[in-house]
Amino acid sequence: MNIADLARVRNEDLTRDPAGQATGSGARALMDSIMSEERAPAGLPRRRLPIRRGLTLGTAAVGLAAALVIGVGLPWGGPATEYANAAVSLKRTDTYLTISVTDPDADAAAFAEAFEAVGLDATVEKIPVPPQMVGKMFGPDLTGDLPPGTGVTYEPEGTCGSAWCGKVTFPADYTGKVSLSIGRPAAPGEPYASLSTVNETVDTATVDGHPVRGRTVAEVRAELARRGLRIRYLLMENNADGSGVSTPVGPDRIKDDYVVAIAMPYSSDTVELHVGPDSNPLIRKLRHGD
Amino acid sequence: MGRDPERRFVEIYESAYGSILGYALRRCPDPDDAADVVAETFMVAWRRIDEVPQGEEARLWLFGVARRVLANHRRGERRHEQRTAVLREQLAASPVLGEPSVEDYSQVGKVLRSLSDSDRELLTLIAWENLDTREIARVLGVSRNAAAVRLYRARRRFARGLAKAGIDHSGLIAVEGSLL
Repeated sequence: MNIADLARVRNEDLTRDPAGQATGSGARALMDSIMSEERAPAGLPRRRLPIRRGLTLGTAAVGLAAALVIGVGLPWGGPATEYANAAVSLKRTDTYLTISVTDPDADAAAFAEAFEAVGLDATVEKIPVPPQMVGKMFGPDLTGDLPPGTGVTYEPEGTCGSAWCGKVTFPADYTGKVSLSIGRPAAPGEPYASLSTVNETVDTATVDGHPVRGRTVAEVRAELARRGLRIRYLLMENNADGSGVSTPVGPDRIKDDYVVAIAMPYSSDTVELHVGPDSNPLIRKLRHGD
Repeated sequence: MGRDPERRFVEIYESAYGSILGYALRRCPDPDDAADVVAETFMVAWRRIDEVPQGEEARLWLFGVARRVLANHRRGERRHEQRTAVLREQLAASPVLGEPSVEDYSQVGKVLRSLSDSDRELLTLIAWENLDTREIARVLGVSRNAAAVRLYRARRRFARGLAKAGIDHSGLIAVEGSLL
């Protein structure tokens, strides 16, 4: 038995079942019902009342740098639709939240304050990241319920005048918790936050632009030594079933002719290399980036 | 992309309905919940039809939406009870769904369930949805490299779980000819 055998139902079985066919009565009724709805997000409260610009909602202590705190809110004192302090500028519409990080070095509390001002129960954590990710915002993780017909999208903008800009789309009336992380410079030698956790794209084939994937440990070791970088080795071993085990090992376990499959930034002075013998199918697979 | 959204939605719906229904049925113990997840997923697609990518990418986009819908769906919650009434009747009568899920009682199923949601999702996207690393990366919204690394780690944890449970896992993880 394998994982595939655990599936409650297979697609090929479903296609023979009336319920599984897009032309079946259940599927057609569902499609017609969906298409009878307005395409504009319905059910979301439209804030059509006039926005009073310039209404200052607060000047919470965010340090001396917080010289400017701007809130734009509803006339009766509800959550602001725009808010800016020294750390971040937020703009909330009916369907999305636009975020512009201006000072990634600000305290997490300053970010949380801004999110609170626009009506979000947000937890903001500063996490150690490589230099190129400093100031970027990661997330969001939403733990509450989303209203029907809505989803969440996360769209960093390519370039902007701030440290990080992007748009997070979720319903305006979402009331659950929002968890966000902001990259902070890691201290020298401090391990970075898990890059897979923050969904950040990392080129695992190079180190500082220098190609390492597919090269031998001896070659890469020499190159990284020239760059003053240390190596944390993970030895990839392959099981007969195709699974693999990647174990941190000392350099004495590593042979010079082992091949590098993955390079990940580990800390400011250390690179994590996943290596193994070239005979390992996993190594070969990773070498080709599949 | 904004032209004739109705026609485009019908095309997307007809091509991806089976995949999304299967995805939901494999993850919801109650078929009624699965029907609701399908309805919710396509409702998002209908309302955001302009954002749905072209071609095969549309199916991956829908998987991504379905993941979030599933994560936010509470068992027994019926948001689309009326619009799924016929579908739920069909599912209730379906012989395909008549058998109890092997996942519920098998040892391998227990190990799979013991994994984190993230690991389990990765492994089942491969084994159940037949997605490859590139497609999984699209569904999760991460780079291909990141998906490959996560998948590798998920497999490793699954293998450890099997070993810990004393299960001979030869051939268990090498699903669909994929080593990752």
